[in-house]
Amino acid sequence: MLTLLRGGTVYDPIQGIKGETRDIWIRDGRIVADPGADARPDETHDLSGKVVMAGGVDMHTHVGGGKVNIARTLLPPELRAEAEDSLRGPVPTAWETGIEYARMGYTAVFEPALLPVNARLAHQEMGDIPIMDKGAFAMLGNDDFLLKLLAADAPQAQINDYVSWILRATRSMAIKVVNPGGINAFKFNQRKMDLDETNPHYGVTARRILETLSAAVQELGVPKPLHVHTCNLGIPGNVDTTLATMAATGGIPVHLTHLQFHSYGTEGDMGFSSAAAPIAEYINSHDNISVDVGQVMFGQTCTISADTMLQYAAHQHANPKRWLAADLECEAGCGVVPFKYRDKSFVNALQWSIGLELFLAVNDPWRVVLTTDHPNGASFTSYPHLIRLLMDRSFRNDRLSSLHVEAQASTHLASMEREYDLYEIAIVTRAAPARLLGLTERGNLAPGSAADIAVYTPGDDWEAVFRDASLVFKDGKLVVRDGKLVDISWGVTHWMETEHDAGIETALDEHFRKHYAMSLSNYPVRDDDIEADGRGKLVAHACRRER
Amino acid sequence: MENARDVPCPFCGLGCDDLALRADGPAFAVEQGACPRSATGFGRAAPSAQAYIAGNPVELPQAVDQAVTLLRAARLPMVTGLATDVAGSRSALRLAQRAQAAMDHLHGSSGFQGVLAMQSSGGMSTTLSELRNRAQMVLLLGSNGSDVAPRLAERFLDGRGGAFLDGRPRDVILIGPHAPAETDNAGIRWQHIACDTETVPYAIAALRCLLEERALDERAANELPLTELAELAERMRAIDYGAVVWGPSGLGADGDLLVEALQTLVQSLNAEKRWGGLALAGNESATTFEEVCLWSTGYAGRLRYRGDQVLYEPRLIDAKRMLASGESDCMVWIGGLEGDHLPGRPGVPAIVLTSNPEALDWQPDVLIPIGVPGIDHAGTSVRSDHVVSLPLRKLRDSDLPAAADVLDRIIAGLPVPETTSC
Ligand code: SF4
Repeated sequence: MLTLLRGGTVYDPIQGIKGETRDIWIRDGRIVADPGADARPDETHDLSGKVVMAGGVDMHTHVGGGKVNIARTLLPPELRAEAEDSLRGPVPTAWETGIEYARMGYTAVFEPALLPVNARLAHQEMGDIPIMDKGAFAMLGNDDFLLKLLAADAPQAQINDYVSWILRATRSMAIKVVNPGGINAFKFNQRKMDLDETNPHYGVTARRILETLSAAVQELGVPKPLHVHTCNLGIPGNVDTTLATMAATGGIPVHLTHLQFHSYGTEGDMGFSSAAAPIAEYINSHDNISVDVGQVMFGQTCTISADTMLQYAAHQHANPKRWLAADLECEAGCGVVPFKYRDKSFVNALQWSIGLELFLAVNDPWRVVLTTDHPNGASFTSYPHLIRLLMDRSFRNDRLSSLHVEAQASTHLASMEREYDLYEIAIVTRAAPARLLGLTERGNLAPGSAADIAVYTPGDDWEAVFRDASLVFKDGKLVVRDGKLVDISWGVTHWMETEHDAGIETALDEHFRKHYAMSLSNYPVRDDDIEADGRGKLVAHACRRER
Repeated sequence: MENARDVPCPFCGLGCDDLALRADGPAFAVEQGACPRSATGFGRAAPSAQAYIAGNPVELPQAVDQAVTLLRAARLPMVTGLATDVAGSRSALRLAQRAQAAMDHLHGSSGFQGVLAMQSSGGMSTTLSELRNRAQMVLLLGSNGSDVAPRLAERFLDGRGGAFLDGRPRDVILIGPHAPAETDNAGIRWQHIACDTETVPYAIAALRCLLEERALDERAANELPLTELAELAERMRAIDYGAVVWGPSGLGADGDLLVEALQTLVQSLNAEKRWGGLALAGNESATTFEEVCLWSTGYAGRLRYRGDQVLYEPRLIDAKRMLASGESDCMVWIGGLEGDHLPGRPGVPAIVLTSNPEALDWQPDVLIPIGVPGIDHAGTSVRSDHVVSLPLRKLRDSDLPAAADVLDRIIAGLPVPETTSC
């Protein structure tokens, strides 16, 4: 089957195509070069006047794993209906997740906090998300095995073997660390942990965990830099920790996630201020740092995080008043706290401003990915609104002028003139996340790439433009027309195949016998766990190991 | 059939995966890791795959057709049992949507109590390994442990298995009518604070008052084992990590209120020390269905489909009640892991998919024998703590289909409702 998308205005930052009129040819699910004057397409879509981009790639969205089900349980039906910006509320079902993403022209979602021991079930849950490709980041850094290795001064090579084993066993794409060592420390009743504080049982600092894991990721050749949710999330004054975290890996690439929640100062009468400026300045002068923002939007949501230590500390803010925190199986934890961001709250309004300040003050869009840390800052369904805030300064300033008055006085946002253009939007919503993940055949429109394509009809209201894509193709199949589902497809599961010495299993086996209630042989995800339903498909990516 | 090691067991929520099986004629003998449930489960020979319509033997396609006919004629079918793996749960949900049915797991009433408690207070929880490795003390309610999860004491309560307990025995305190089943384990110091089921909520309330040094109503206090509770409160304050564990079906009619009281007790204990709660859920794969149901519909069960909508009506949707009253006019029983929890004859047409047809003492309108996940086919089941899932294996060749296979064939015969999404 040969399809022609004729004459659209193409934005493809990976190829450097900046709003040029181009034809795109699709054969059997892939983009192909122009087959020549004799070619007769089976299907032609006239896209003159339309904007054409690769399908969106969300690299940080909580769409799978037990914590999402806990959030579904905690938020009763009546509250879901109340949530703004979404038909489905802040914690949609797997089915709704795929449909709502596809509607906006997204074609891939990555769960950034996979608890390794929960991998099988999380993949099965994500397997029920239609249309989307998916993948996961396995969480390490609070697991007793790694901390034990660090406490025993194990060689880096052994840690690399373990990290590689985890990527394979959990079929994950990348490694994430959350509050390094702190979630584990909370199990020993420690309530706070900064970068240079130690875990009470293992005597290991957060800094050491970051150094070791970022080195492991680099040495294994995993393209995606270590995904870091650093210490002190949400705490006024955490800017110092955040800057220290960015410096901690000594130039090794590192990705700071939901940076907005880590960009707080303590100035002003309220003891809470924006520290976006020094953080953006640091990013602008250090190429090894990439970030995603974790923008806050107003309305009901539910915060879900592996950071049990700080989610427990935040439980008094639960709205409605119900929350759950859990210690999880020798590996990490989770905390689920429903929350309502209010535009008339000083703190919430300033959080909103800080996120936008970061977007506008980081110069290089290739290193700042558009996220709301769904559903922590807001539901992913608010992306079209966020895009308009970035593209339309008068809209942004109108919105700002309706917020808590003192919050308005505490931000430079009104004076920030930058407006994202379509090329930059294409970078922060598809090209940059795809490149950071190491996906070469997604997030771009080059011949040979998968035909994941979104077509939009431009207009004055960019929110409306990006809410309902005019056409969406997934692997060449037309799945959405005018924001409505017209067909179904099931994406693949991406994972990163690295190499390691199988000898690591000897140490793991001993650890499993002592700590786990499961034998090592039953731990890894089997291909059939993902593929046996006839829809799922694993795609292994080769690491960039240079030896 | 071959011998097998490190075999995952699907027969209760504990999720043991250390079983050694010896092929023994048409079934398996459990050589290592045996308990009454696993010995029975693995020891059962595969039944005949013969399907029946009203007691008459038929080929599988005929049975499927008859099931389709019954479902097409029904106004509100009830999909129940639901003792199945992840794949079976997925197909059951698709069937319920297609047939515009209601759904309720066979343990729906105790599951619902836990969900209600979560929706009023939330909680603070722990998982089986954390409990084993860290908990110096365990309070146990609504169960003596082994009645629900036979190997709980051996695998999780024995303090000598705790990675952070330095080989010390664990204090396990039973509050309620259930006495400890076995007390000869040197790794456990049992204590039984006896009171009847109705008194347990008051005992928990009193315990909380004692912990928070609040005054107790004297008259109420007189009826409670106060000296023991006061001594317990003293010990609870001193430990670093504790766990509160309950058997969800043994909590009585107001179990949701008791779970809420336990959850809020655990939440408040965390102001100073570390505690976690854990329900011994998951028998007959209740947690497996809950997880799949949550990510598929947003609800943990007790729902019905109307068009594209999912209606969550936990107090109204009760399989037993609705089948008895005729409110639901067709029963679909989905088993595989139901063991001896077989349905009684309802007063309405019944389609029964079971791995234990020989134990059924009545003739359903449609009877289709199916395999056991983890013996006759591979699959996934979820442990009581909702976190860990087991890679169930196919251990023998049998001609029994998986529940999902049969359900998918039935679904194929049903019309797509007006607006549908999958
Ligand atoms: S305790 Fe439960 S999981 Fe363990 S062997 Fe017995 S039935 Fe199986």
